[in-house]
Amino acid sequence: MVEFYYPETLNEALELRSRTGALPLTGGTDLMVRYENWSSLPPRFPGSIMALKQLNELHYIREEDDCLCIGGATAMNRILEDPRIPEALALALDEIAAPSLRNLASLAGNIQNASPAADSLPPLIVMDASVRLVSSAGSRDLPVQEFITAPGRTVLQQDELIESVRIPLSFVRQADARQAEKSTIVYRKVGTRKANALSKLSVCFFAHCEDGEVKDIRMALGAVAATVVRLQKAEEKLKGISCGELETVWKSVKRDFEKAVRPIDDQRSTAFYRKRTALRLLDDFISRLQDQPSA
Amino acid sequence: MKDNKIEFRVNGETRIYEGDPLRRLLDVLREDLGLTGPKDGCGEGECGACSILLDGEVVNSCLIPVGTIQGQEVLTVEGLNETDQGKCIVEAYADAGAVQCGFCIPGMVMATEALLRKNPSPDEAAVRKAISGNLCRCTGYDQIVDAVLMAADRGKGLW
Repeated sequence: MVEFYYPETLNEALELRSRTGALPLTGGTDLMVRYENWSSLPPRFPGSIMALKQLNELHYIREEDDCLCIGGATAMNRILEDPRIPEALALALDEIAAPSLRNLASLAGNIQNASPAADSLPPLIVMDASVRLVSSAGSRDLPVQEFITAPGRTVLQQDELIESVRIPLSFVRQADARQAEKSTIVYRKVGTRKANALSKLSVCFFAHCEDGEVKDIRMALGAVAATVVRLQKAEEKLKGISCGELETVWKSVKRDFEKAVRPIDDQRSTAFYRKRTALRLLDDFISRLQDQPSA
Repeated sequence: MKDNKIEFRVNGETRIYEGDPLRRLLDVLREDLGLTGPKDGCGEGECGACSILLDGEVVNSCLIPVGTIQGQEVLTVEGLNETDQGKCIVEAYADAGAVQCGFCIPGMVMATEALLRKNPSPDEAAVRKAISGNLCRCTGYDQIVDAVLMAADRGKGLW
């Protein structure tokens, strides 16, 4: 029997979760589609459902513990409206589906759904964002990149919920250096139409250049592998080199990192197109950095 | 939610629902309440034909289990049509020739109302963004954009 639970506090939700393992439903924009039934019939959920949207404790955006924290039930449009949100995340959220979807969908839900093509993941992973998981027994923080293990799979335990998404303030401040034209953010979603498109590919790149040197560079690519790929080894090789040499160094190391880009053919695109486009977007980002006037 | 009763307001009237809380709000509106303005298009949140306002925000009613809207306020095109703002939008749609088959129009009108509440004098880009979740297979959108801009212009002070 599929039960529907409607907890009124987070504690009640956690108690229900550990007792019943009910599937948390916030915006419902993924779950209602995944378990869609024939027209006019209720969805066919595989087990009990627990609504979370009504929990006020999960609707907030605030700074704490050196992080910008976004409550687990906060809808994407509320996040977009907040001026404290880093541009990298705002650019991605703004291109997810359409306004009516973003009024329902939560950022935490986009993470838990763990689609390799989830548009919020490349910026979250570039920003080294983490999730705070809570249960009746306590809480733990995990980087988003470690939280997601495979398409549709995360390490969320049967008794846990995502309490918040946490973006390090150090990144928020570093990205603010944009004002001084020292940092560059690129977010690109490649899809068949502007709104309501599932991504063929989405990428987020960030670089911070100062005194003609690459101080920080981060590159994440979505929908090119089973989970979002961050090119950490490439980042290490590019960090600290002078902006003028960037393109040359990139060309010499690029081949080593192409392996990480191993997309698949599916109904939305082909592996060939995805790989070629991903690499060209990377090339474009590198040449853009090299051409910066400050470089 | 007490005793499995879900209480919410639809077009200003309080409703108490006692059935399956997992039914789609769209189905409850259409089948139980006879409000057939919201349309069942794709059933997947892609087409916007089922758009309504929930606590003033435009949402897809096909994606909402009715059990999750306890205490919230639903506005459908039937309710909106009773207001000055609704009449202004509907007349502008007619005058701009924005309606052909009509299936998308209730959703378009709700997206228009949501936009004008937030931004009473939008430019064309804002209009196109606001209706980006609503598909129309007849008009090519241009007349709909004209209608929204016309409503904004005629309805100055209403929103």
